[in-house]
Amino acid sequence: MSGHTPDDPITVEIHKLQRPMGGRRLASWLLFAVGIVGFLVAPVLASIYGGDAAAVAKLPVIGTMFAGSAADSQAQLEGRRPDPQATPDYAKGDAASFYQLADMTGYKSAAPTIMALDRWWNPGPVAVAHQPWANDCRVCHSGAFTQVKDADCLSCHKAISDHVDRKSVHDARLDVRCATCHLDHQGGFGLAQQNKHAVGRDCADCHGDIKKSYAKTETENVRDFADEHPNFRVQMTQSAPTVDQMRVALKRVRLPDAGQLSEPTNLKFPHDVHLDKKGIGSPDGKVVMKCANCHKPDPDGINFKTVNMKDHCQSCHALKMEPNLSNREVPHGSVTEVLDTLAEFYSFAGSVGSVPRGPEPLTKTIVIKRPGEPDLPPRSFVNTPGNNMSRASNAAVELFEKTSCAICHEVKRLAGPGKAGTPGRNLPQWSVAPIASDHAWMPKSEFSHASHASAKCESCHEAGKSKKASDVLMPGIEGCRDCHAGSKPVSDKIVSECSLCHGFHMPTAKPEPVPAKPLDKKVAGRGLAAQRVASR
Amino acid sequence: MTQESILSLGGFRYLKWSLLLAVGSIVAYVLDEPRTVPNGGTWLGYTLGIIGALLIVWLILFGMRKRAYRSNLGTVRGWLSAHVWLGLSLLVVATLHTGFQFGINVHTLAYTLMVLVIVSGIWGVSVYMRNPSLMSGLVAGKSLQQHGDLLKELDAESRNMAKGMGEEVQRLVEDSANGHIVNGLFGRFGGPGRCATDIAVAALHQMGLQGDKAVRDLYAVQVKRQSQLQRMRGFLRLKAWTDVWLIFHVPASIGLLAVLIAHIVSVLFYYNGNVLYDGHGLIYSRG
Repeated sequence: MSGHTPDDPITVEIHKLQRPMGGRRLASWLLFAVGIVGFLVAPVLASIYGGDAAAVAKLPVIGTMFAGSAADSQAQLEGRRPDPQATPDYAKGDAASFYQLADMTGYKSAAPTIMALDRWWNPGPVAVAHQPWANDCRVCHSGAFTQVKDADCLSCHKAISDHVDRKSVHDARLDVRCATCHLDHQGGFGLAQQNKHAVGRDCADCHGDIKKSYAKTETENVRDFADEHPNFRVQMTQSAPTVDQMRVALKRVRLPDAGQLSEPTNLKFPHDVHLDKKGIGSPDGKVVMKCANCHKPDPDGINFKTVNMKDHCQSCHALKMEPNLSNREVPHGSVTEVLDTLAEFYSFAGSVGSVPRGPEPLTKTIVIKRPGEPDLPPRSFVNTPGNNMSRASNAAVELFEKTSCAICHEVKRLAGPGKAGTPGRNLPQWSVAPIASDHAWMPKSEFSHASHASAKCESCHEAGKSKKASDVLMPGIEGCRDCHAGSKPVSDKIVSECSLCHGFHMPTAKPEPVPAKPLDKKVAGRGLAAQRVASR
Repeated sequence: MTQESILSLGGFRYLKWSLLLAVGSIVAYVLDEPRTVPNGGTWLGYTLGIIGALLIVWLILFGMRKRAYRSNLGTVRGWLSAHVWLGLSLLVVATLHTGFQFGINVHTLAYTLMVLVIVSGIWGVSVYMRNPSLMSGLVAGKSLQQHGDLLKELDAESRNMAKGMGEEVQRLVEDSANGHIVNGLFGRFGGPGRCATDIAVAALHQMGLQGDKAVRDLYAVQVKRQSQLQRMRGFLRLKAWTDVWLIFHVPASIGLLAVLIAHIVSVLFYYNGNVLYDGHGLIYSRG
């Protein structure tokens, strides 16, 4: 056997080959350093200094690395928050393109911080309305190691209202942060939309026994739409002497399980006559009317435009003074305006000896008579005996009490004279009962008519059978339950959490918005939002 | 009695723990009703995240336990068995922690690195289960050094036999004796190549055809050397493949640790999620 020398080439090579492969330690340290510097230190610095190259340049070592990056001062960073008064960009374009955008969760956002480092920390797409600031953490996160503050949200969302008046309701369960419900970085859909389907289970915590939170409440307990929700309360006008008083004399009354509510509208309008399937007389012959002839939806898809005399009634219900001789009408205005017009009209007609009429042919007049009354043509007063004022007076009686005003209004003869100094002051006088003004029926919920456009109007509103304008045609809860389940899924029905119809931020009658939560004094003064609030 | 493998140790004790953790996580995930969508910021998300992070730290600690020869804290084989099985369950825990939300960010980077480390670990286990028996078959109970000594004996014998033969034969024998066992890093993994012994064997075969018995004897010794080399190379190739996965597995897991720290700090830096104390004495139960 040959001598075993430790430094012969074979022994040396075998020693070398038996050693474990090197580089593990070096590679470990290298990867650790890359991970910490690249994904922790750099994004922290980028987030703290934003795009502020001047501040970064002052830092040792790193300053030289980032020298020459786009300058972006603190003021510019603050300036990147949107002006809450300005029209959002999406609202300037057409709505369709906005919703298209909202459907996309994979949209792209600008990354304004140095080397776009903020985007590495972004845990997921923000709501589409926040998309312009998706990769600029500090626009919303004003402090390190703290959650997004309400002040951060409220610096833009100024107009948001609270759930209830916090001066009268004291319940610790209301001390929630904006972000308790509105969780961003969960996809492109809007944060309010997110809650429409996600919130509801928490409502019953208080509303299951609401008197415990607020003893004076008129709200009844609610736990689930399917079986523990009272019937709706509808807001109705109360009788009042003037239009202005009537406008604010609103009260919410619960719909009865059987029978119908009646609202003192002071209007005579039989829906059944107008919606008669056989048609109704018009200047152009018989027409079959539809709901949409008068009820035009608002662009929001929730409410309808106010029905008015000029657009929806007057083409049939013309206020003609001398229907046989002229198309002239009295204004649909105050009693004084009507009487003045009559006084002036008959004075002029008397002075020239005829009724002036324009070049247009006479339009057909709709004569409304009670069943059994003789079919008489409209009366004319120009050539009747007496003076101009007595003719105007007779015409006024006819107009107010028979042919026009009284058709729709409650009119009542008053003792004269009328308003001093007006042409019609010596004519007979009337009062017209104030009409209930247009108002929200269910102000505590949001019902989108647009979302229910596939249903027929009469499947919820029994207008075709309604004989009086005072009939409240609002549907009760049972109709809704035909399609809407509660929070438990039921086949063929829509799971309906509270927030499907109700908002948390209540559109209260108060014109002034109440901040969702008072600013934390300790926090105010720090953070972008607080600074912005302070600078206003 | 068949010796328990690291997988079957203690009657698959750690497989049972691992399954318990994985199935428990899946059941919790299925039953959980987060306010919006499943994500890392819900109660369950945070819980799974904390379990996952603790698991990662503990799995990395195995590297220390392996070297702590004086430690009595369980056997290294026990640790390895737990390391393998619980490391596999981490795949389930961490995936559910993500809520299947992925993006181009530090969070998904941490997840990706973790998956790479686990996949390399699976490779490592398969290599460790298969290669040692193949390797011991190749070296047949002798150490590599003993195999080296055999080479040296063959070389001495060859030199002796080559004395008096032509200069060309002596050069072939000398080159054969001085050649490397494996040719560089590439050679360790079994890269192709013709070594000096191969050349000597081929040349002596040609010369031996001319009828010189001494040359044929020398040829037989060189053929022995060649097969001895091949045996050693086979062993070294398996050893290289067994070793190399650790060069990936260990640094990648340390890189993962760094990115994991960045992930956790970034989440706490901006307090994502909705389950922690929020300054009003309330801890929200639904994320």
